[in-house]
Amino acid sequence: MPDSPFKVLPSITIGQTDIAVTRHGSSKKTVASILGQETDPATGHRTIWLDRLVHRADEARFDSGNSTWAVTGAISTILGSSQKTENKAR
Amino acid sequence: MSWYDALRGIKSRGSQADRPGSLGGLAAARRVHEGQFFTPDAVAALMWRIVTPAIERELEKRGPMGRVAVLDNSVGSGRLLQFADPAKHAIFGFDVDAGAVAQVGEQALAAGFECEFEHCAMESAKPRGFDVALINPPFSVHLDAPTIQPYACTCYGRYGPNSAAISHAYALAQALEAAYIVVALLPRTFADELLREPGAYLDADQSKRMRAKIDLPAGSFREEGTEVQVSIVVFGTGSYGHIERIELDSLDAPVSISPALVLYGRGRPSIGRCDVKDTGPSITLPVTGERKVRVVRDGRRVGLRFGCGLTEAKVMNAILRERVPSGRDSQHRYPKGVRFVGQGVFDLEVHLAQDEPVASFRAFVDLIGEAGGEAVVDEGIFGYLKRATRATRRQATPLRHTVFVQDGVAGAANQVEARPRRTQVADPKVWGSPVLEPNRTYGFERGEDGNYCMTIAGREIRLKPEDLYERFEVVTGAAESGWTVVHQGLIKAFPGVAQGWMARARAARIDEWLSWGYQFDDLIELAMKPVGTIAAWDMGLGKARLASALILLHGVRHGLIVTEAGLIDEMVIELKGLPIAADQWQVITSPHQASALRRINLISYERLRMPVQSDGSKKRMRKTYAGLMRRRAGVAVFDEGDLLSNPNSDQARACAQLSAKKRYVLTATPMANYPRDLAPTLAFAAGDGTAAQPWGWRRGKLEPNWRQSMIGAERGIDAFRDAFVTTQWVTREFEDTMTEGAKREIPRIGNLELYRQMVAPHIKRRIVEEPEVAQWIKIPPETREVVEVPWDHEHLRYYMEVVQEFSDFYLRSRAEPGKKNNLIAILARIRAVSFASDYPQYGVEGFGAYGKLTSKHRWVLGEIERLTKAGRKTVLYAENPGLIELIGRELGNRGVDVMPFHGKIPVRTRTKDLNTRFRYGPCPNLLATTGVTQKGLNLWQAQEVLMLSRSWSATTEEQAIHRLLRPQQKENVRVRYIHLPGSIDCYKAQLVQFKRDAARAGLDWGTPETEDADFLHLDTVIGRFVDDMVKLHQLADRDLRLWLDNIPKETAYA
Repeated sequence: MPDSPFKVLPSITIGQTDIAVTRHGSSKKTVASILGQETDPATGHRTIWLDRLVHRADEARFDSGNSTWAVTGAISTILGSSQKTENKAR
Repeated sequence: MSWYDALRGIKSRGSQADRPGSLGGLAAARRVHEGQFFTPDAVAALMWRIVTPAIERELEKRGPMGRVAVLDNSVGSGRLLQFADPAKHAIFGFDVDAGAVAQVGEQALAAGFECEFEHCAMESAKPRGFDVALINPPFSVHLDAPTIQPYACTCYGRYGPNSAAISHAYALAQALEAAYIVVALLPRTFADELLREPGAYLDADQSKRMRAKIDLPAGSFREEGTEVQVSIVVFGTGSYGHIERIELDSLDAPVSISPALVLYGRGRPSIGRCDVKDTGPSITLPVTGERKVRVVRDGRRVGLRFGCGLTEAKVMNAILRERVPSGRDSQHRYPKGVRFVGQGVFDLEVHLAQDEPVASFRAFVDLIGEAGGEAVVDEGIFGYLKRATRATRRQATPLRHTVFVQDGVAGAANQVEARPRRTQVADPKVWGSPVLEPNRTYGFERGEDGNYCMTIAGREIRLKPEDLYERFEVVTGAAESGWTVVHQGLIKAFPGVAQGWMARARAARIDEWLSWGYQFDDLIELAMKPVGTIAAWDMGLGKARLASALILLHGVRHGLIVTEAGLIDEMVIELKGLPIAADQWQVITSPHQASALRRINLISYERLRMPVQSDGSKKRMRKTYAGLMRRRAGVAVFDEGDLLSNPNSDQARACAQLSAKKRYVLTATPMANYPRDLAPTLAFAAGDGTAAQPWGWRRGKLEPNWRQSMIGAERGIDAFRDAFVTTQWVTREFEDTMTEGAKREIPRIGNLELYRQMVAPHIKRRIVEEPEVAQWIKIPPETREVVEVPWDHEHLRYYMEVVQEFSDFYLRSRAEPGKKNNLIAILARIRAVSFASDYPQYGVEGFGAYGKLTSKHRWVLGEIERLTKAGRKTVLYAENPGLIELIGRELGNRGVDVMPFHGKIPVRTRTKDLNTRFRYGPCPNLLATTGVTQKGLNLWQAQEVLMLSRSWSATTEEQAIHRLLRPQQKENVRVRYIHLPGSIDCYKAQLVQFKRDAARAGLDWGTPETEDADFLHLDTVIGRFVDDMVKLHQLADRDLRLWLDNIPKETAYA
């Protein structure tokens, strides 16, 4: 689902074992544990599986400062970095 | 300098919209601006002044670090929060305007507030734990969402009960649920209504919290470009019993509420978005690295068992993909339990609906592997799938069906000319297929496979014979009327399986007593159905024997026959006549018998739902006979099973509770009243949303494409209603349940072709006239006629007065569609009109009773007297026991012997009298109510039927008439309907004719006779009656009453 044009992307901070999501206009944070992560050596594409849903039906991306993460998943959130983002990060 | 200054430039959508010039324009404008008008500063300041003293007092108690949580549930640009102070207040809000809410959040954070602002609609939030709510909600916007909370102001909506509301009422109820003090800016009319009738919008506790209503001066909203009249309504905590009413001349005027508003303690403020369930992790397994995923079966559901959380996350997300669209963005209502796009693969019936079920399931297993799991499929699943595939094929195969076709049977001719019955596309499955016009004829050639072939526009179109008859009228070749087999049935389709069942039947010597050809063939076909089916044999074809045969043929340890209490004795007579040992069957009348089941167990519907006696312990016990026998019957036969059409009745629930392995519903009238009545019975007997019977009742309408995606999946009820039910208007409640709620329905099948296709595999239809039955049973055809009896002038006046009152009331009630009690009131008045016509001696509230016999009554008395003298046996049907008694007394006075038969006479007494006096005795006349003479009774001794009252239901009338049309009947039965011209009799006659027509068209492939006729609703019939009176006597409307008062005898309506 495309992001609303008015919407500021929720920001995400990714730690070793947990992540935290902060939404614009809210001082509350949503946290989740990381179940596992994989990086595709060919593309550099990184995928992180969380233990719960932290994205909403109308959210497609999270912002983590200098990169964005695609968010998908039906029963728990999957974070996926794009190749471009990863290259930028490098 | 205020933190709010940067937000002051945001303009509300309402202030920028054009001013509407009409009511229609107002609605259109509201759709654009969604009721968004920001609160003018002076009004916002006034609302803050009301709550400030209570906040200051509370802050003193909470100390320097304490904050008071303030909520606005349609925050817009945050006008109502502009006076908040980061040192004193924590501010919260949500709104549908994403742009505005984002800016408010940004500014509030920058100002150092503890805050939370969400982009969400008020119907998607469930706020709790606030101190104060200051609200200026959108006015009069209709909310319809599955996430709406059930408050006093909510009503039936698109998503069922309590799923719709008006925005300002909902916002108020939500704020009251969320905060101790609520200061709400509301439309003046609504505020007045709140004071007058608070119970219509608030629950009892909320109503008591109302403290003040403050009317604001005119023009308070002028700066927003609207002149709406508004009031502030203030709510506190606790109950004060006094509401202050204040009228303000100026917005600066001081306002004080006494006693002062008070805040108590501190909650945990939370907006509580309904679309995000932050209740903890959805995956709780530890990450172990175990990749194995067990695939298990639980009924029709497939389950996955994991040993590692990460594998679970990978596999489940890969299969389920994403949530189905819901909430404001989607107007679609999904079947219960449908949440994810890919969840169809967890239903084995979805795999069974594919061309290759096993291949479909294998592809699902492969997906587990692709997602990172290692599937271990439980032994037996593939075996089950193969068996279920075969069973589904049998269940989905149409049962043998012979129908009568008028001028449409092609006989044995190899070449026929046929004319389309309606404009149609030659091959609906092919895009661009030629259109066939009804004014042209087309040539068909019969192929070796028995199908008919036509070539048009270079394309070959092949039709099965049944499709040819259904779609075309044969005009040359062999056009004739006659019986034709439209479906060959299971015995032809699965000869091997049929042979097996036949051998079993012969071994059990069932063929010796279920000996008529069609009976034995049908028994085999029914037994071949793996789930169950509906045996819709016409009345008198031997359903009682079929019930016992079904149980014996299956060889089950326990079989159950459920029938109506009044028919148990008839069934016992039947069982005693069969070669079944006495210790093999029983009638269940005690819990002990229900525990010690025999091979054939007979029980009434009434007893089935009855609670069994408690064993004396104090434990609350609600176990029923059905509960005692749950899952113990291998085969259950539900005689006269059309009562299952009301799935919420206690009896239907008890039948479902039995949970028998195989279910057979026996009824001559599976369409109890309307075409839609079949849906729940079909789901009960043949499967609820399965591959073979996709029309779900509690589930969705199963479609093969669910294997790919659940997007667009329909509730079974919605699909059925859209395809088959013809209505002019319905309430949300009827839309939701298809059994409850008001509607204006026409008894006509929407998509007849699809309806026939739906019932073909699941209804074993047999009628007396069809050749395979007629060679065993011959019932002389009955004649039917309507006798119109002229009105008595006094009775006409009485009836007209009642009708006029109905007419006036109906017009009034249509003007107030929101009133909840309308349906009950309308039904009561329709009943009154019916009584005024048929049984005015009973009396109508407000009009008293009409004491004399009516012309109809006198005609019937004379006719029965005449028939008695002529030696004819007569059955008179009426709807009311009181009327039966009245006619009985009058005939008694004339020295005519009669036997009343109605529900006020105990069952035993009336059954005994029926046998000794009427059926096998000298009494020539039975006066019966249709209610107790409906089913199972044999009254073949009589030859005359007089319908004194018309019924609302075709089934009721047909059942009553068919009591005489039994195999033993030797004479042509004469049925006469007695009508008063233009009265409610005519409306009922029309209703019954439409219902009978729909049933014949759907079940017996009859050509609908009423298809082109307009269905006249009761108000139209009554309106025409009044018009006819006016025209007949050349009166003006206003003179009608006067004329009625002075009505001369000779001008009575005739």
